[in-house]
Amino acid sequence: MDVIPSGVTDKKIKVYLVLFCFLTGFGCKKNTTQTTTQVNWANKKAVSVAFAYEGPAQGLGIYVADGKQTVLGQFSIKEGACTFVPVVPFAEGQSYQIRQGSTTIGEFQIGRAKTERPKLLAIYPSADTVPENLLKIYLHFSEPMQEVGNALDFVSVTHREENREVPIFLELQSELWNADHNRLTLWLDPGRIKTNLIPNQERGLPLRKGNSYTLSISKNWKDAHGMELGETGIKTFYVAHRDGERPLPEHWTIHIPKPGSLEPLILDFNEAMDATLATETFQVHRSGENEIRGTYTLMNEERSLLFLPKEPWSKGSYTVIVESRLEDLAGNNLNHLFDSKLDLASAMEPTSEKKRILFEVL
Amino acid sequence: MKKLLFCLILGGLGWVTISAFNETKSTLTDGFLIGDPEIASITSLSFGPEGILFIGDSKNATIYALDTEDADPKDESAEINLGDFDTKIAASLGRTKDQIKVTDMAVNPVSKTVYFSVNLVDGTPVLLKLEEEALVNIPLNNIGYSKIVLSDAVEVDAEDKRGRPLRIWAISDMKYHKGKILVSGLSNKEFGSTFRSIPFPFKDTQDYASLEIYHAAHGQYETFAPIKTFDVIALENKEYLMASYTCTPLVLFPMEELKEGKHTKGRTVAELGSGNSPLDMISFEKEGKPYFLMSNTNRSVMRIDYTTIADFKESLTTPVTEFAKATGVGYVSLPMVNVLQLDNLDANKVVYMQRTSSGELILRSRSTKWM
Repeated sequence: MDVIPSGVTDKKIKVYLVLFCFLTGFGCKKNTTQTTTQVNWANKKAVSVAFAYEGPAQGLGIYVADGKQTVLGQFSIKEGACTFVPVVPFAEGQSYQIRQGSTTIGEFQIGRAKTERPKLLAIYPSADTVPENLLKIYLHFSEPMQEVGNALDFVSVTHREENREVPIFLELQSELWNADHNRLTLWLDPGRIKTNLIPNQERGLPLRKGNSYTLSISKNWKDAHGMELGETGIKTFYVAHRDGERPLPEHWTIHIPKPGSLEPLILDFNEAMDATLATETFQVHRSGENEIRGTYTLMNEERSLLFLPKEPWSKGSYTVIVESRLEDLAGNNLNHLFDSKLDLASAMEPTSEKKRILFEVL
Repeated sequence: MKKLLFCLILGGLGWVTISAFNETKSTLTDGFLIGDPEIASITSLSFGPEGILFIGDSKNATIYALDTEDADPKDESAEINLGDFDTKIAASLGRTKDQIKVTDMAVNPVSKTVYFSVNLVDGTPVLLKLEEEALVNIPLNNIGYSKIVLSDAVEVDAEDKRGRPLRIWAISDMKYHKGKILVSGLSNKEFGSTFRSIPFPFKDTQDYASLEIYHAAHGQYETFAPIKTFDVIALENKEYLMASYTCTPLVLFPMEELKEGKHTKGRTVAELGSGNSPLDMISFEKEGKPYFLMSNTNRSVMRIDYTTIADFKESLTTPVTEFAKATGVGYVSLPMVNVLQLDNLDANKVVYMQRTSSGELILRSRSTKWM
């Protein structure tokens, strides 16, 4: 039995199908011939298998090695050659058997289209100190991760002083991944963060001030190709006081670039912002005109945002527009606190979809 | 004259028959396209009339209506009793059971066939149905379909030209009810809950209702708590959305009040204990009386009598102070735990998927007599 080498692409790879009993050396009077097979690949997927076959169509089946259920798909037999197209491509790393009735007439194994391990690129927030009402943690991976099992089975948080695992995340059946399945949002249980809610009263905040915790991402977490991370991802953080104030753009510091230059425009928030929202809630406009094209990058542990324009700055008035849904680490947005009662008084407070910061390039 | 009258009557009858025939012919699939609807993920399944299967796709934030062409009526389903069901599904897809995930199950109410959506490790969605004891694949690349993209009602920003990442709406439940697809979901960024009502056949409109509940376990009003599962029930000739939230309040919203832009306050009728999350909800009749069943992550299957809900006129507006205590309308705990999927199989049976204490995934039917 040969294994298809790694890194195979669209071309047809020939593999030799050797009889199982021949390989294992056990005496087996049946099936002493050797059959050649081809596994056909398209877009890095093993889409079909072809093998020499003279027998009847009835009773012929492809099985996962030692499985009881035939693999769903379509056979076509023509002039001593048989092709099988499974309804979904064969699985990487998986061994299969070709059986006629209860007799195994051959085996083949699918190689891996990719052998590089996925990487945990970032954990947000990136600071080592977080507020005790931290609301979200984001995990960014280099590859799309597996879409089976539960993400929380691979993520654990340990209270360092007490050396015990603490359940801090909200369990959701619908996990909050991005479309590429390489970025995961984890919510710390909001019912425990909101003051005086029953879960908060009964179990307290998920994270407690003055304590240290370790977030561990299991090395066994696999990507969509079945490759494990291989290394445990660790982040240790200290929990500081509660963040009970919403971000106020009028308190931010703005570093204005020189005219004619490609210098960045820098906004210092004086606190860390939500890493996802902070990169998508800002726009820079030449006052009264269209948006200026450029790139936004978070720096300084999400405490600063750097905007690099594509074209040099010209003299004149500019406006930074920021959507009010921007949040700090505690989920406080520009309009209201995450932990605020939905009473009449807060409903009367003026809110706006966007805030504007004006500046002049002189 | 008599002959003429007879001919006229006969002609008239013929016309009526043709008209009646035309009326029974489906118009729901008339505008369907044939081809590949490009489904990226299957989060939720729900059947409408005429064997039309609705698929909720969280990745594409889209609802698809598929013509399964499985519309031969059947009154009763055979009993189902299958063990090691995840191994069976996995093996039929050429995989081991750690490489698949059953994301939903739904019964076609016309043919009584059970359908399953399955995710492969790389996210490839697969649709299967059970024919007797055999699994059959429904190819998703050449099928009659119609689709609608869930509009992002929270944030429509005309100024945005940077191609920013789309907000993901994780669909938590979806059901067809009287010409409408009802969808609950939550966002991957802000902690917000949405509930949409979309007319079918799909047009350009979708209602986006904002719901408010009194969360007794949380001791305050909530607008952001995510709906986990829901059903539509009729109480005293009025239809209600019966929504079950994470941390288990059970809340009634009058269907007629769920309208675009309208903020509706629900009536919390039960607090089924925190530290639990509801999984699935169905209604059924037993000896002529309507009930509903709810499966849970950390509780057994609960059965609630419709009349106790109708009789419970008040709304829970005082906090529950004892941890994991249930209040409001009463329920019966059935001796069934770890029921992951649940649906009506026929008028007298339900079908459920359960993880047993030994770890085996089983698929079984059970008479409503024993529910």
